[in-house]
Amino acid sequence: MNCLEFRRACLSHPRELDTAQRAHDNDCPVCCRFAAEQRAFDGRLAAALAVPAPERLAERVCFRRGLRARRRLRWLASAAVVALAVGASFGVYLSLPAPMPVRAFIAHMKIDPLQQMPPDPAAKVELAQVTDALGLHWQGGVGKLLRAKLCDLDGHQGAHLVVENHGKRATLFVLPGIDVAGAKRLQHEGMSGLVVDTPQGAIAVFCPEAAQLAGLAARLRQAVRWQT
Amino acid sequence: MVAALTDDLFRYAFWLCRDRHLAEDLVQETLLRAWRFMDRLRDQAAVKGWLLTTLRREHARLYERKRLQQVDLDVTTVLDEHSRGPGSDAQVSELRQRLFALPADYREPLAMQVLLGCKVAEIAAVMELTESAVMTRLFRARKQLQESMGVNVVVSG
Repeated sequence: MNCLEFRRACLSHPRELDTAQRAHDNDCPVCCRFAAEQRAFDGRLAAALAVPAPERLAERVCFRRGLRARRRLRWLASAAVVALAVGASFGVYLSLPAPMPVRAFIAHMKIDPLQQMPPDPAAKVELAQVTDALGLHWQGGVGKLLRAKLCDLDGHQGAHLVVENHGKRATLFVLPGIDVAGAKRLQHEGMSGLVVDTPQGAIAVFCPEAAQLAGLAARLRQAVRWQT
Repeated sequence: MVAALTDDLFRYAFWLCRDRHLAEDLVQETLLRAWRFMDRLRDQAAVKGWLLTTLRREHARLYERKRLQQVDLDVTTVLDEHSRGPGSDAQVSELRQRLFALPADYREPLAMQVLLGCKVAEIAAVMELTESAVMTRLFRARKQLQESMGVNVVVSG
């Protein structure tokens, strides 16, 4: 250990002197004085570096931390509320009955050819049972009733009727509480059809003469009094 | 732990950026970050080094983010009255001005060593330097400071 090495150590790490450096400090009076001067200088340095810290800085940091946590909590609560609202809306949307496609009428007439069947003498009794089951009140005035039946159309219950209209057979449907999607005018095996949405449900009329559809549909609307 | 370290962290931050308000922001950000990663700080001895490294990074990030205008302060820069502290004598005040003017590369390790009691190895780890590089900076810092105050530092035998 020489004086140069010792003084370099004093200037770079005065508090970390090793055994050899401490021994040199004891043995060399000039370097000992140098070391003492450096220690005194470091004392002034420490005082100069120790600028006063702001009052209650730690408390302010703690407060800000709490504030951030509360903000994060508020944000999470808002996000949860929005997620719940979206979820609930989606649930309501899914629970809404899907509109019934108009092709369901054609499909039903194919599997249930009530139109071709002979008149039922007990048609009025059947009609009363059907309207009771559907919560409807039948006022008549559509034409002579030939057949009446409670049917299932695409999962929805409705009245399937056959009446005589201007000397020809016409098929009628009444479906309470149903929306119908798609085209409203139809053609099926020589029959013309018209589907009408009402606030209480859907009605459909099928007859050979397209020109008679509107009048027939209007009479059917008047014939039915919705109770639900 | 926070209360014990907050003031020293503030002083270190102050000598890093030479601005009291910025230093306060840096300390707050550093401690808030420390709370977030508290579970990783199992080794109490490593906490100081971790905080210093985080504060340095926050400081660097601040400059990146805000693109703060950097102005080199000359020796005549007058320190904020609040930085003087009560009971400061003329010698301490003058030394503060010299410290203010000292290059950051020298000022920072000096603050870590004298203020926070860090060893050379710890400073080297925080500043990502070799120990000999840290010792060189510390040597030059003390020499430059004393010479700027008219003290002839004789390092030859």
